[in-house]
Amino acid sequence: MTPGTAASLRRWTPLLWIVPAALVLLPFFFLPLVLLFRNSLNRDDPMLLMVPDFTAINYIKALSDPFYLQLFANTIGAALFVAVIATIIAYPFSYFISRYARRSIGLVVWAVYMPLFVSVIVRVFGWMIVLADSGLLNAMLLKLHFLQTPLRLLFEVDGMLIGMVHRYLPLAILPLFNAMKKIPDELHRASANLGATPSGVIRDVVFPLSVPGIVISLQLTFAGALSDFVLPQVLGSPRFRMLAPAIYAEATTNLSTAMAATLAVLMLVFIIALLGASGYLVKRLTPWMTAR
Amino acid sequence: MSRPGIEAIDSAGMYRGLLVYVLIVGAFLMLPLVLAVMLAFSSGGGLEFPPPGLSFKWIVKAAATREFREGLLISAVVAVATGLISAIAGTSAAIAINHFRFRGRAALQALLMAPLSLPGIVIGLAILFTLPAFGLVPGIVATIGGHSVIGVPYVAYMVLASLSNYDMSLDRASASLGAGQWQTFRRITLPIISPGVTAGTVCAMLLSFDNVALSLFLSNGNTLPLRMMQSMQFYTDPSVAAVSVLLVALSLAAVPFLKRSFRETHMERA
Amino acid sequence: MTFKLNRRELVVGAGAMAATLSSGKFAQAQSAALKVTHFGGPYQVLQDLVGAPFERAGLGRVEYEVETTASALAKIQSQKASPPFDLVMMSRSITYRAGRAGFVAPFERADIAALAGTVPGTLGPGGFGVGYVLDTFGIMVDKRQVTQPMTSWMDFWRPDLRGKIVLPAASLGLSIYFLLCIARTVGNGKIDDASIDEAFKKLIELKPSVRTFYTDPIQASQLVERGDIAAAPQLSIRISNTMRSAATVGRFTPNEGGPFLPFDLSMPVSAKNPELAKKYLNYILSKEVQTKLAAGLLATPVATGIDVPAELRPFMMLDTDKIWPIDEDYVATKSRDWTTRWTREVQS
Repeated sequence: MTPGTAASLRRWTPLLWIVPAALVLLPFFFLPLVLLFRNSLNRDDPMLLMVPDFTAINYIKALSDPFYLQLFANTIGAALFVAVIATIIAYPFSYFISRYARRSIGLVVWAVYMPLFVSVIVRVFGWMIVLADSGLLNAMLLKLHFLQTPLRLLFEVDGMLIGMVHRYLPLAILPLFNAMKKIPDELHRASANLGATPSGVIRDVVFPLSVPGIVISLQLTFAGALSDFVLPQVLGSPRFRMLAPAIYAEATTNLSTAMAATLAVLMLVFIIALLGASGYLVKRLTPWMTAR
Repeated sequence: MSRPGIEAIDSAGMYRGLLVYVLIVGAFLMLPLVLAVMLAFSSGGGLEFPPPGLSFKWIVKAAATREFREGLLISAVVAVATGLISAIAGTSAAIAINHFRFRGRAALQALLMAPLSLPGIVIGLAILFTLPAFGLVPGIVATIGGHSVIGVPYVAYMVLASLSNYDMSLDRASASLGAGQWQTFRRITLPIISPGVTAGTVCAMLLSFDNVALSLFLSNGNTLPLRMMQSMQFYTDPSVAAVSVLLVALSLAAVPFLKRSFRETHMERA
Repeated sequence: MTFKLNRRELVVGAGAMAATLSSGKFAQAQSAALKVTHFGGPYQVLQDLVGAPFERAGLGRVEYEVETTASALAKIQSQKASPPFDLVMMSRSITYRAGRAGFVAPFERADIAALAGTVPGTLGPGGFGVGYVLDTFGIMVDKRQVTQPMTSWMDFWRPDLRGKIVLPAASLGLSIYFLLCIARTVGNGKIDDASIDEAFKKLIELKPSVRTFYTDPIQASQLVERGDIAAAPQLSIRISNTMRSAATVGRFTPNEGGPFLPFDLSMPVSAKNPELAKKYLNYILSKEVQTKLAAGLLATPVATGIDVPAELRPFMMLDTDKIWPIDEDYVATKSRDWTTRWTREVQS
C-alpha cells in the first residue's frame, strides 16, 4: 500500500467505525426526529386530527402560554431537585465505596444496579405500599406518634420526588465512583503528611478532583428526570404537571400530535443546550481537569 | 474485620459514620424491591402489607399464565438481539470517538447520547410513524430496532469508560509489529475492553427486557413488561409482583458479569 | 477466546431467528385470520368466549392482540395503507373522530343483520363503529365509609365526603364524561355551553374536597378498595368487577343516570378482510355471545332481551333506561377546550 492510500484510508477509518451505530441510529432515531420536527410544524384540528401545514403556531403557543410555561418550570424544577439531591446523597456513598469497600464491589454493584433492572412496574407497586395514606410509612409514623394525620405522599409531588430520587440514585453513584477511584491513595497520604485533617483532605483534594464525576452525575440524573414518564404519571400529582406525561396526554387524550411533537422538540433542544452549556462551564471552572 | 485501604491517618469515626450512611442508603435503594418481592409470596389477594401469610400461589399462577410465558419468550428474544446489535454498534462507535481525533468528535459523542434525553414514548411514537418508510410493521424487528436505540448509547458509554485508561502506545506497538487495524482491535483492544463491552451489553439487554414505552408502540402488545402493565391496569393482585421475582432472579444472574467488569476496570494494583 | 468465537455464531443465529420471526409465525402477513384488538385484562376471555367458538362454527379464524386505545389509534394512523388490524377496539368518541378524520371505514346498517336486536345507538354516528359491550359511569363507594346512599351526582358535594373523593384527571378521557354528567344535572337534562360553564363553576367549588385526580381508572379502584377514598366516579364495568372481588366496595347509580359509553369495534380503511369482519360483528352481536360476554366481563350487553345469571345480577348495571346518549359531534369539537379548562381551573 502506497503512503498516499494509507493516509487517505486513515482519514476515512473513523467513519467506518461509526457505520454500525449509524445503521441503527439513522433509521430508528434521527429519521424519526426529523419527522417529529416536521410534525411540530403541522396543525391540530379537533375533527381532522393532524392537518399538514407549515406553521410556527405550536411553538408560539408553547413558549408564550402560561399553561405550557408552568409545565416547563415544573419539570425543570423537579429535575433539578432530583439531580442535586441524588448527587448529594450519592457523594458520601461513592466516597466510602471508592476508599474502603473495594473488595465488596460485587455486592455493592448488585445492590446499586438492581433497582435499575427490576421492572419499573414492580417498583411502583412497592412505592404504593410505602407511600399510601394507609401505607407502611404512615402506619409507622402514626404508631410512633410522630404524626396525628397521615402524610399525603402518594399522588403528590413529594411522593413523586422520593420515587424519582430512588430511581436515579444509582445513576448518580457510578460516575462519582468512577471519578473518585481514579484519585490515588498517595494523594491522601501526601496531604495528610502535609498536615491536612481527614475532612480537609476531602474538601481540598478529593472534592476538586471529583468535579468531572459530579458533573456527569448531575447531567445523567437531570436528563433522566426531565424526560421521565412513568414515575410522574403513576406516583405524581396531576396538579403538578410534568413534561413527558403532558406530551403523552397531548398525543393520546387531546389527539394533538403536532403540539405533542412541538413539546418533544423543545425538550430535546433544552437538554442538548443544557448538556452543552454545562460541559463548557466545567472546562472553564476546572482548568486543572483538561480532558486527555 | 479487615478494612482494606484504611490508613492510620483516616479517622475511625469517619469510617464508622460513613458505613452507617452507606447501609441506610442501601436499605433505601432496596426497599420497594424487597416489598414487591415479599408481596409475591403473599397468601392474600390484594396489596396488603404485611402479607397475611406466605404462599407460592401467585408465583404458580404467574408461571401458569400463558401471556406471561409467551411474553417472557418474546422479551428474551428481543433482549438478546438488542444486546448483540448494541454491543457491535456501541463498541465500534466508542472506538471511533476514543481512538481518532477528527472534527465534530464532540458533536458525534453528543449525538450518540441524544437518545437518552428523550422520553421513550416520544421516540416510540416517532419511530412508529417512520416504520412504513422501511416496509416495517410493528412487531419483533421494529421492537428490536427501537430498543437498540437506547442500548447503543449505554454500551458506548460503558466502553468509553473502559477506554479512558487505554494506553494507545499498545496500538502503536502492534502496528509497528505489522498488525492491521482490525487485527489490533480484535487481539489487543477487545480483550482489554471486554469488561466494558459486557457490562454495557448486559445493561442494554436488561433495559430492553424492562422496556414499556418503546414496546407499547413498536410491538404487538406481547412483551413481558407490557403484559405486566396490562395486568396491572385491571387487577390489583400480586401476580405482577410474582413475575418480578423472576426478573430479580434474572438480575442475580447478571451479577457475575457486572462484578467481573468492575473488578477488572477498577481493581487497584494490589 | 471463547468470547470471540461465540459471538460470530450468535450473530448468525440471531439473524436467522429475526428473519424467521419477522416473516413467519409472528408476522402472519398473508394469513386469512381476522386480527382483532382488545384492551387486555378481563378482555382476554374474548379468545375463549368468541374466538374459539367462531372458529369451531367454521366461520373463520380470529387472532387477538392487546392494544390500548392510544396505541391502536397510533398504529392505524401510521399504517394507513396497510393496517395491522381488521377490527380495532376503541372508545366511541375516539372511534368517531378517527372515522371523521378518515382512518376507519363506515359500516352500513344493512351489512350487519344482528344490529336489529340491539339497543339504538349500537351502530355509532356516521356508521364508524359498532358497539359490542356497553359501559357507563357510576359512583364507586367504600361501603364502610359511605353509610348514606348517594342518589345524585351532586352528592359528591356532600360535607361528609370532604377530602375523601377522587376525580378523573384531565389526561384521562373520563373527565369529560364526569363533566357531562354534572352539566346534564345542573342543566336540567341539557348539555350545552351554558350548562358546561355552570358545571365548571360547581367543580371549582368542589376542588378543596378532592384528594387527587386519578390518571388511570385502576388507581380509583385501588384507592376505594384500600379505604383511602370513600367515593369516586368510575366506569361501570370496573365497579362491577371490583365489587365481585372486594366485598367492601359498592355502587350507587345516580338518578340522573350515566352516559352511553359503548366500546366500539371499527374497521380501518384498506383493511384486508371486510367480509370476515362483518361476519365477526354479526356473530358478536348475537344473543348467545352477548349473554356470554355480559356474564364474562360483567358488562352491560348491547343486545336486547338478555338474561343474566342471577348470582351476577347484584354486581352488574342493567338499568339501561338510566343511560343517555352523547352528542358526539358537539363533544368532539369541544373536548380539547374542556380538557384544557379542566386542567387549568379544576385540577390546580
